[in-house]
Amino acid sequence: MREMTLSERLKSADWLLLGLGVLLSFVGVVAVETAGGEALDYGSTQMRWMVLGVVTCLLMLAVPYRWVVQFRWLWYVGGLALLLLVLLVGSGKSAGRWISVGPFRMQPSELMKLILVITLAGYIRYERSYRTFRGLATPFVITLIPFMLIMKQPDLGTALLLLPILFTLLYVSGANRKHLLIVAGAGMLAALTLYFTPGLMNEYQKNRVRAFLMQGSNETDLLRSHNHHIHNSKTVVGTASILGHGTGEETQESLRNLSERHSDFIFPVVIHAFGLAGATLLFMLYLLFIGLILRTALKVREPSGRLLAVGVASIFACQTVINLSMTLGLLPIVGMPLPFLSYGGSSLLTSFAALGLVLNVGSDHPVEFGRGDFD
Amino acid sequence: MRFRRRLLLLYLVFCVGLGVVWLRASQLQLLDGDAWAAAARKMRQHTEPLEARRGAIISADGKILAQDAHVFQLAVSCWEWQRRGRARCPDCRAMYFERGTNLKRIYIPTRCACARYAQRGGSGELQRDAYPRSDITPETSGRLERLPDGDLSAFEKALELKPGELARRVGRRIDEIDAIIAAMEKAARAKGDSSPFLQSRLDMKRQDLLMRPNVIVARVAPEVARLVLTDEDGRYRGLRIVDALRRHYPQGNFAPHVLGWTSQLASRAEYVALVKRYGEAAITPSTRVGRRGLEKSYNAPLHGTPGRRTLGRDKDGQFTKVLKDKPPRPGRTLYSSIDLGVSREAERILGEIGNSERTGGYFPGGLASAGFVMLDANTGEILVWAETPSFDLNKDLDTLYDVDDAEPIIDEDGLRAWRPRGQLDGALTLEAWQQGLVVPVPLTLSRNGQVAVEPGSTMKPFIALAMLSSGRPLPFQEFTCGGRGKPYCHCHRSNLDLEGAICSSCNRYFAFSLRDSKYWPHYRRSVGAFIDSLGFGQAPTSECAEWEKGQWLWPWIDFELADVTARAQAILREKHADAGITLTLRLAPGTPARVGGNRDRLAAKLAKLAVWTGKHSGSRTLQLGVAREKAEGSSVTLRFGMRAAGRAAWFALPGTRASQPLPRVLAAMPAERRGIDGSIEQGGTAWFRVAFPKRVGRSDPQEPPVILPPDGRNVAIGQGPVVATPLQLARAVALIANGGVLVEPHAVRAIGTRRTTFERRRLPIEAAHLDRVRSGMWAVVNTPQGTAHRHPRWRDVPAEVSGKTGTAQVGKSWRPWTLTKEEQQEIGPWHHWFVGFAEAPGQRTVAFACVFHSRTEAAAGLTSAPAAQQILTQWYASGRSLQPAAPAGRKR
Repeated sequence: MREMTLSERLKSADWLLLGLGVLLSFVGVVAVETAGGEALDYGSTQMRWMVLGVVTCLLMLAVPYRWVVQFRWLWYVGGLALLLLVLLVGSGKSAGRWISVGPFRMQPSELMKLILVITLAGYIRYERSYRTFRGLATPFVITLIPFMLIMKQPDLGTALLLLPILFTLLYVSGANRKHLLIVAGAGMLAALTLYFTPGLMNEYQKNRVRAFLMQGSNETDLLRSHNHHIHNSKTVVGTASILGHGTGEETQESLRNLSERHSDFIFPVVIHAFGLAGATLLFMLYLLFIGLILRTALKVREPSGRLLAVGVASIFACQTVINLSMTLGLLPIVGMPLPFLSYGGSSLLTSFAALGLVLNVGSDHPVEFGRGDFD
Repeated sequence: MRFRRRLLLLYLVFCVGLGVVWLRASQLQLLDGDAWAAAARKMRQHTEPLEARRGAIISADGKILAQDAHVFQLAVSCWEWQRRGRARCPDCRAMYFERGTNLKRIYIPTRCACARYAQRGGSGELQRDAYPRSDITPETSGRLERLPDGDLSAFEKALELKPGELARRVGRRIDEIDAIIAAMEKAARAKGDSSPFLQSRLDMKRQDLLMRPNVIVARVAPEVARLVLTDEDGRYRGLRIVDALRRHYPQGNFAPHVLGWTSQLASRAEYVALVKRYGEAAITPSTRVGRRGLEKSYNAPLHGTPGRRTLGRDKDGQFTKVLKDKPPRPGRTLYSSIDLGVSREAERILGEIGNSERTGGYFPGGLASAGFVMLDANTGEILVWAETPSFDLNKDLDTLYDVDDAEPIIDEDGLRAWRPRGQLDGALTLEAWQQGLVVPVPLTLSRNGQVAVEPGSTMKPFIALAMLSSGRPLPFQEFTCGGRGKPYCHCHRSNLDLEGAICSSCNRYFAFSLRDSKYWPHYRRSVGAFIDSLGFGQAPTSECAEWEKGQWLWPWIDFELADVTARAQAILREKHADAGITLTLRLAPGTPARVGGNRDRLAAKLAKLAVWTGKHSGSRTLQLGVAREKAEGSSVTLRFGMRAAGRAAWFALPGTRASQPLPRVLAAMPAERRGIDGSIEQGGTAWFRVAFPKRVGRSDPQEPPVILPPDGRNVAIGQGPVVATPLQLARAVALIANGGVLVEPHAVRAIGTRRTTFERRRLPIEAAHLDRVRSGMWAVVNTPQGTAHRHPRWRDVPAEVSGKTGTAQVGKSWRPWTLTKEEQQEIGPWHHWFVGFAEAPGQRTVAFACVFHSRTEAAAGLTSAPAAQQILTQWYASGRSLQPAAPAGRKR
């Protein structure tokens, strides 16, 4: 079978999707610049990452995605090796999540999300055993190994994101729903065990959960320490007007108490600067963005391509909903960036790489086999 | 199609998720916007209490006796102290300081210009300020030069501390914080707090307390403070300099017992009282409360009203913009009636005479022990106050309080909590401070106001007044003193009348009057009532209006039986809370409610007996019955019985012996003074007898105070058992001087612009009787036979002086616990008294008392009388002796 040339790929790529990704990143640059204020030049750094991200996206578009899937185990082992390396030499403000390479730092767990999607897509494409209860074991093991390594860093947010990716891929590929429900129930039990068994979770992680549960209580100490993220974030959101306060001094003053405002808590910055109207537009952009990725999944007939698109959509969708929810006090705080908006090279490059993969899938037109797989 | 449906479902879920988020954002903004706007305002503001400057105390001659002053204090952030690691960039010499996060310890750079040498990530310099390269440690960077922890030995030397003392104090602060946390946990559990977040809350509170500046040195010199404030290389990391208002006593060791001192809050009750008055936001750990003397008695007007300041952030994010300012209202100024200049002169004179050979120098090293107090005889204002030795109030006494009261103070919501400092400047306890200064009476006790001793012959004018007021004729119209016999008298005069007896201080005249004369029962009754009304023999400080509660040096004091029961109950609550015993008191008919003795020892004994009785009877409610058994000689015997309440009639039938062994508390007593009637399980009574001495003011309240026959002669010559302080004697003399009015001594004549008023009580004494006593006292000073005539230069005093000398020798029993065994055997302290009054036309009539404690039998005429003469000379030379206008509002 002849592979498409690069010019053919570029011609048939979904440029609207890429445009949406760039637009979201640009909003992110403005928001990050606002969050940094005059003293800190986050915006230009983020802009540089955005340009690099677009280049990465185009590179991913150039390589046939089937090749990427074909070498899935290589990616997987490489990803695991990086995660192990993090545990050995990792660095970071509180948790050791980064590896430093010369002047650069990377967060392998961000990359692992995409690698997991590729690995699972390849596995499900070529194996049928996942339709049985016992056959679910392999995809779960594939997921749980990086899950454990990421938890160990510790990075609860990224680790937890791997599970929805797995469930989404299994669900869309036709795994038995009863089996999935049983596994999900078992997972819930495991989570409760994790929380209540001493030593398995860090105390600060538990406190975040407690703080989330105690939002309306009189536990003033909790409010002042672990809860202050939620409290400050809600304060910023609550004081924004419909049209926002712009990016000027007033917004800077309001954001002063909001820590991590340029990364995980970028949404309160957006809503404070551009108001509820701006936030609504942002939501519509995300809806359109995810919709276009899912449309790509529908458009292609090749199973691994479908799964890649759905997997990437699940990453973006879960991250978006979880991040927005935690900034508004609907979920406990976990370290999870808002796709394309939050400050951070690893996150942005991974997002653009995932987007490139989806564009790649969308631009490829393999031979159709009549009925699409998983139907 | 199924794949399409699944994708649609997933998309729908995503839409719903985003929809929920949108609704939540709308709710926060549109529905709860006002509340969040208020929260935002609150976050941008910071309110801090402003401590009110405590009012000053000014002497009568306009000198400052006490005032508030700003001082530097050395504080420590224990949290930072525990992370004192330092490292240095080898190229730009910038410092890196250790910090802890949730998971590990990291190093934060200060102003490292070449942070690229340290291990760091991709975003480089742009990120440096906001995100310090927080993963840097000397180990991970491979570049940083680890420095040893700052050597504080030189700093400790500058602070005049022992080596390692700072670390010890920090350790103690951490212990105190742990005690606070333990108390908070106990209080929370007691309130039934079963929150799953309790431990988390306590952990956070502990960290918060560790991070706060905890004062470890109450005062540091400015040059020492500068060392910390200009520290850039982290040598003093964890240490802070804080500015605070502290009490300053410019006169140093002047009248510390009168001025008193302050200390921090020492109990929750104090905290609650202050919160009630000033609001919670105004109370801080540094809030001070008067503990002794005027600082205590006038704490309310001196305290002032704390203020409050609301600060906003400046453009650098620091709280520097003053948004709202409610300035504190300083405390009111107290204007003392004490003349500092004359009092200082009096101290000098007491010192000079006390150290002379005549007194033998009471203390090793020649330190004198003496006191002089002078009152305005008509108003009771204390005009001159001198004591030696004394102590300096500036030695960090503002942090002093009783260690036993150092329970952690925690407010209702647990946000504000601290443990009052149990140490004097973190090192010296109150106990150690007192012990170090015992010479031999603790310096915390005032010689003028709180140390009651035998008054010697200064009692004689009052005995004379009492005899004259008894309604009976005097026992002797003309008395011939033989000199020899008991008691000994050195006057050897014949044909003595009352005035002559006072003039020559004839022991035998007064001793025989109260022991062997025809009217002695009447005299003793009259003397008992009279000296009781003067306050002799009672807790000495009760006589001064400004000392709410002083210390009584003698362990034997008057007390109510109800009071001792309450004390026993308090001991049970504190030490045997698990026993849960409740005591009820029942007095048998005819039992005195008030006796004199060692109250604390009796309470401890009752508590022990209660625990034993409760254990063996199985009852938690016990009845303490007290019955009067006999009153013979100089004592009254009471029987104390303890039994389970409601099980038997009052006092079980005697003769039914107990089967159980005696409790240890009873076993140590003689067999005839203790026992168990009946079976304790069946309501039997464990009992013991105590004989209480009957003395003046300590007998049954129903009966008039009497002098018992064995005590008659001693009371008559002031050798006991009646004791008095110089202040009490001065007050009593004032009564003779002013025509029979008992004034209330006080040291404050005005609070701000308001004059103080005190009660004056006229006693039913005939003027003719007073005149006889006055003429006798005049003769003491102004006739050759007078005991005070010979040595002092009375002509230097521009006033008519009357007085009475007195010398009391009380041998081994005087404050025996202050002396070694050998000293108790060998040394009997002598008290040399001179009391009197001086009057001159147009001048204040003053009453005074002077006492020297010495090791030799020097006559008072050689010590106290010359001292009083010299001080009076200074007083009249000072020009303050002129009669002031009558203060408004005085009750007459």
